[in-house]
Amino acid sequence: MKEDQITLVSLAVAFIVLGYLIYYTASFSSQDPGAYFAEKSLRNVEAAELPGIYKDAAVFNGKVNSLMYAIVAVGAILIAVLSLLEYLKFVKLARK
Amino acid sequence: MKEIKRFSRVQIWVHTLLGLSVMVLLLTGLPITFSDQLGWFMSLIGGPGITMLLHRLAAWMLIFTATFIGVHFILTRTLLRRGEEVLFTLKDLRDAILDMKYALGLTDEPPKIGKYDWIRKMNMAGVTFFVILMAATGLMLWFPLEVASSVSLTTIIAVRTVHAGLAIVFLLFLLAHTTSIHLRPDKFPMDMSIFTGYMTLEDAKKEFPLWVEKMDLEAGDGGSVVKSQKNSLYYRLWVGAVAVSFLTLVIGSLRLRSEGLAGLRLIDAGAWATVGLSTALGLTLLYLGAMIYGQAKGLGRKS
Repeated sequence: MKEDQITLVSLAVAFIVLGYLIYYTASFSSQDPGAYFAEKSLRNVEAAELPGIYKDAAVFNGKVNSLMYAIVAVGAILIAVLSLLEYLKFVKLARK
Repeated sequence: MKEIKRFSRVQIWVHTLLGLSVMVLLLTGLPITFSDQLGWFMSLIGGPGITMLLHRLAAWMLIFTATFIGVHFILTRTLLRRGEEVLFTLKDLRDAILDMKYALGLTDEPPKIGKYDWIRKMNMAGVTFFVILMAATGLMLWFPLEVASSVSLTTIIAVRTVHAGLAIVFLLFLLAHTTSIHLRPDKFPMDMSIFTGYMTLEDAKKEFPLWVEKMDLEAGDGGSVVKSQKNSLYYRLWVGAVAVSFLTLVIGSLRLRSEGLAGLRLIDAGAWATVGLSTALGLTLLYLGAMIYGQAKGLGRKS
């Protein structure tokens, strides 16, 4: 198989996936995405009412929150340090 | 000035589609997650309905591009036995250590690298990792009622927390990517090779000596186009904006807290959070514009 043929096959597969996704999404067109996904109001309702009803969910989400907190904090510091080192390197290279 | 081909048309378009979709996803997703600080941007583009619509259109584009890259890479590796230059080797680990020593002034020479160095390979691996996770969690949030038939509500709520948390890391990743690859001091205002597909032989010899050696190219007629503009006002402004954005995001990340079912939120909704997140949003908008400009210039270039 040549490179152009590989590109064509890859494009075809990607279009099939995209087509299926569009078809699948269209089947939900009766839903009101603006109202359903108005994240802030949904959150406020959840924060105010759901904890009492779904205590288990709240406890589990608390654990996931802690995990994400750690991932975000470690990721942020790691990326910041690596970026700083790269910046120092490029400044040195630019002076060369 | 002799130029050599560095990127294929496929690579150029994949980079552009990925970049556009990721940046639109961040520009629309962050105001939804941090509506207290970035609600102004959501209002600016037409409210939550339009914001979510744009978010999903960008998600389509991202999934389309990711599927294309995945299939293309697998077929290229298996049928043409090519693409090994993006895979990690032990040399990358040695190069990374040497690179850091060079940055800290512990050695005088940076490592000699091939077509892609360890930082570029890490960028590619990072994008793959993030895209898979973000697409998977995003699709679960997109179709919660369908997913609910096989997954518990507890999991769906937790998935939203994971999606939001990863988006923050992805934003930092985007800032780091543009800093270390595109908007470097020796390339400022931007490295055009990913848009045109070409770079000068002189630059290639400096940056990717092992790649040039492998290609067995003859020496060109010289004439480096690399000019250091590290002292320009625009460059300083850009570095300042990235630093402010990075610092506030790092501090902000450390001040995220759990709110039970509500997911990740910032403890302090004060001015610093608004300034930091707005700066990051502004930079993403700037990068989006730069990418469109670069692609337009690349298209207009006669190869």
